[in-house]
Amino acid sequence: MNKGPLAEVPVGDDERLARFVVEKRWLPKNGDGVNARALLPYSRVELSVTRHRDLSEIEITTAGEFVASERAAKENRQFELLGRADFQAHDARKEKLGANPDEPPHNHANIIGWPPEKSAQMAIAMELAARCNFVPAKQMSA
Amino acid sequence: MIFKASALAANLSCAAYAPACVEYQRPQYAEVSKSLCASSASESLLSELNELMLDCRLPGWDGYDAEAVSVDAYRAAERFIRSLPIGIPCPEIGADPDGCVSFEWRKSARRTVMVSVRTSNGLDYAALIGSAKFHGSEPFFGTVSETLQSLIRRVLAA
Repeated sequence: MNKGPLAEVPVGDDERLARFVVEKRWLPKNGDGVNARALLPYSRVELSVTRHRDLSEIEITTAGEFVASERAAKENRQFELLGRADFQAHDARKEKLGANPDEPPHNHANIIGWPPEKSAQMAIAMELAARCNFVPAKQMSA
Repeated sequence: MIFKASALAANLSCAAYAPACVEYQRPQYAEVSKSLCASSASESLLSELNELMLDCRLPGWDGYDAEAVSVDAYRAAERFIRSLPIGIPCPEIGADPDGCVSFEWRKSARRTVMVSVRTSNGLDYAALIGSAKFHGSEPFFGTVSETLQSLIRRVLAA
């Protein structure tokens, strides 16, 4: 996979970043946003996100559907994209995290600088989740 | 008090996730004193744990790089459910990307506490109460600590 035009472009503070959700238990039952599990770093101590920058709504949705298809391919059954959790890079930086481009795939970035203790990661993920805007799949462009 | 767990066992057929837990033999009797194990809430949670095991039994279940929920993680979560004291409301259950099972008590996005159960007799927890953050880790040998119980009650308080 090739690098895209944003591969060397630093992530701006006001850039919106998306974390796609394909697991239903990452959404609270009361429909109140997204929970912290969706924003925990793994397998490296980094959180994988997609930059909105220069992408149309349809292209963002396509990136999310790719994430869902990755799960579907591994399990050999259908999985739907449930939505995306959007936050701004400065939300992460307020928590002393960094946001770095990391292509390929196009528009991919990593949230870095997490503390090593899982409980501290959970506390930061909770704060990020509270600041997130969750967009359900049915409200995303198809 | 010793409680025969046959009713629970009936609800927790290992066949539902047999490919993932062939080595796991359910004990016939379980110590359930002072826990909510016998309640319908506990049975419901255990049933949700089985579903979770089915959904998250393979790596990459989140579409990214998540670890599979292992039989050890299942057992640890089951032990945690059985240890929840009476009076603590039923949490929401989920899997973390590292394959641990976690439990969340949530009133709102800014009033929430999450406990992640390690496979190695430990708990990691974090809470958000308004703008205040709390987090820590503690050993777990079948009893939910007063610290955690108090944090859960505080989050859920009116």
